[in-house]
Amino acid sequence: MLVYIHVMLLEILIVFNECHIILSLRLMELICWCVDNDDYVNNQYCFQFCSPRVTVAAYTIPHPSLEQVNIRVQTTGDPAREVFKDACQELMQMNRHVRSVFDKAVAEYKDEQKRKEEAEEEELKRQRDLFGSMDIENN
Amino acid sequence: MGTNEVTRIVTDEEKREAKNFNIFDLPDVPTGLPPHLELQRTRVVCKKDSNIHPTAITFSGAYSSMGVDNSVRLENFSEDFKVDVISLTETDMVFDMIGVHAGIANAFRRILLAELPSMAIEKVYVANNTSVIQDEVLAHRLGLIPIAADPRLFEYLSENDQPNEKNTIVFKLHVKCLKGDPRRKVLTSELKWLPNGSELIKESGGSTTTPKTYTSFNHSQDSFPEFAENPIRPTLKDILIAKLGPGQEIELEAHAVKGIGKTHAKWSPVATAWYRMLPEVVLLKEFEGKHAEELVKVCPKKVFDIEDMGQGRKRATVARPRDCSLCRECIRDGVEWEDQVDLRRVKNHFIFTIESTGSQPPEVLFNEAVKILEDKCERVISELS
Repeated sequence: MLVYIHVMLLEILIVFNECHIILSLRLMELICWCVDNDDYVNNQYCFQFCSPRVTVAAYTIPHPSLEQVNIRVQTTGDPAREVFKDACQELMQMNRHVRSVFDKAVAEYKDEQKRKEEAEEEELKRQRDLFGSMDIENN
Repeated sequence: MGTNEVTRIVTDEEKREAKNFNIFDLPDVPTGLPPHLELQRTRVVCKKDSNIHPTAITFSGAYSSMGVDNSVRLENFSEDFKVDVISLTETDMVFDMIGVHAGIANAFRRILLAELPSMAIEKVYVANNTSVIQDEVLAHRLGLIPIAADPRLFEYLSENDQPNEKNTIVFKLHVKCLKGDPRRKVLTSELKWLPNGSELIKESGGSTTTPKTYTSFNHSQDSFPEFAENPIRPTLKDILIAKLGPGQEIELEAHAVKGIGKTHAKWSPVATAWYRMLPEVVLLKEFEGKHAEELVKVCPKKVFDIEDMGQGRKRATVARPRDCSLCRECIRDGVEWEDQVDLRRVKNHFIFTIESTGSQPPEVLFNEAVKILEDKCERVISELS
């Protein structure tokens, strides 16, 4: 057990060269300091842990002048790091979906505006023709 | 002996049926949430003294005892998410975002304000300034001028970089008010774009070498296909920079670089970006007659209307709930009003407004903001791998 924890520590420390990691005896808890993350981005992470695999998802900011956020993820059994990665992946896909729906809506609006303008021009032309015929009647 | 007790044999079919039994399949067990919980989950109720239920319920198991799954799933989000464009011009955009969490909408707003890049004047080289405005005040005013140039075509200028055609835009301003002429205004139309780079000669000790300028352009910027048809210019022609009296002169060169609003507000590409939740106004009881007229009169936004029901009877209806600004005038006068009018906000319906400064259309700005949030997620994923 001790050897296993040690190996895990080495692995994680190598991966997170810019972070500090504390592993408690419960391997399911992952507390990490991620440098250069802004407050509102981590709000997304808390939101994305609205998932059956997560029992606790929270963040704190140790000090407002430090660009650091402590994120805590506690799962029901899956590795916390994998759950965290899955959440980021899902958030990224949600953002892609937002972009595609937004582009579609903008294109639809522009098409509608163009159609409206054409209809207005047609109406104006008809009015002009009518006015012309009225002139002929007067003459 | 007595009577033998007969043991009933349970069949396999009955065992399978019992295993698959679900209490929610029974006909008299209701599905979904009861109305008061659904209201609490989806609406902010704005009472006279405070808002009720403002927080979104994010715990996935919040309603598990009622058989409702409150977790966020990508497929559900993809089905429910919708965008309606309300209005769109070159500089302004109003659209509805339906089906997103408030945190995500706020993330987009903050990225729009502080993390989208744009071009703004950063260095001003003053050759001559005899106007009443000091050099530093003039430079500050120049920095705040919005520039119609797509920042995606430029790179960030770091301290080690040499200014070149890929990271710098050069403007020239040379205005003179002759003696005997009346006082004149200096507008942004006088700012001339120099596509070949700086024309100001650096002062150096030796004059044997080629005279150096403050930029080193390898190519002219107007050879870029993007700028051939859309030359770089200030967004508006009539922004006042300074006023010159007779005999006064301004001669300077201004260099614009790429930056983000977090560094300085002059680089923010939106005049502002904000959202509000969709207002919902519900009349819990009927307003009739004089009471209805009072209600219509009391609302400054004209949300309510009088509906004629024939035979001289009138009642109030909610005609324009979207215009509601939640000033609470209709529920201010006592408990009777508060009990009859319910003001709500829809928790996942955001009316988003973006005002662009002109460097990019508002729909492009929003797209870029969403991309930036994607990039952040990607960076975290790569860090964790």
